[in-house]
Amino acid sequence: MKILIIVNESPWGSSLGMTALRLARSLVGAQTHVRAVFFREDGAYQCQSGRAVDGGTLCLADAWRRLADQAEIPLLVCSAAAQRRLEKPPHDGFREAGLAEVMELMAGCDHVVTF
Amino acid sequence: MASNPRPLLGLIVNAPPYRSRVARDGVDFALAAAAMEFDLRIYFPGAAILQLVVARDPSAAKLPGGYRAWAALPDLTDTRVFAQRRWEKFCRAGGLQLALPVEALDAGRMKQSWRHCDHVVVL
Repeated sequence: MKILIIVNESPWGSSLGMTALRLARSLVGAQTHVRAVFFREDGAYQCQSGRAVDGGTLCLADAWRRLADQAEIPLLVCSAAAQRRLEKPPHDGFREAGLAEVMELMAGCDHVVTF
Repeated sequence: MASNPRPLLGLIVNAPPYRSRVARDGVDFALAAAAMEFDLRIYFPGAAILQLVVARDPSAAKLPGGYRAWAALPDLTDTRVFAQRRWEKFCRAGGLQLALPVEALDAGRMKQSWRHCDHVVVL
C-alpha cells in the first residue's frame, strides 16, 4: 500500500506535525510505503529547526530528517509556500517540489492522509 | 485507485476568505489537480463558501484577490462544488452571487459524498 502524507500546519502552531510524524514512523516497517511527505502552507516551516527547542519536545525538522534517512522517504516542501515563507530554499533532506509532482505522486498512491 | 480513468479528487476547503493572507494556495492546488486530469469535487464547509462570492474588492484593504480563480475550474475539468445547506441558503437569501454553481448538502450527506472520491485532501 502506498501512502502520501500532507502536512499543512507549522511545527509550533499545531500538534498535527507531530501526529503526522508518528503516523509516518508507525507505517515504516509495516507493509506500507510512504511515498513522500508533502509540506504545504505553514507546513513549510516543518523544515526549519528554530534556535531553541522546548524541553521534552522534539525538533521536528531533525526528526523528519532521521525518518527520511532511515526509510528513504522524500520530504517535499511546496515551492510556492517555501518561497513565501523561507529565506533560503529547504535543504538537508528537504527539497522544494511543485504541485505537478505532488499530483503525480497522489495519482500513484492508494491513500492520502492530510494533517 | 478506482478503475475510473480520470481519478476523482475531493478537496475540502475549510478556510473562510481572508483568514490567510495567501488566497491562492487552495485555488492553485485545485488548478494543478485539474491540469493533471483529476475530476474535482470541492467541498466548502461552513463560511468557507464565502470564498466564491463574486462582488467584492479586497485590494483597498491590501487583502488577496485570488479567489476569483475558482471560476476557471469547470473549463479545465469536471467540477462539482458543494456547500452546507445552511450556508447556501444564506448566500441566496443575501443575494450573494457565487463564482460557481453550488449544490447544497447537509453535513452528513457531505461526509458521505467524500467516500465516492478516490482521494480527499483537506486544504
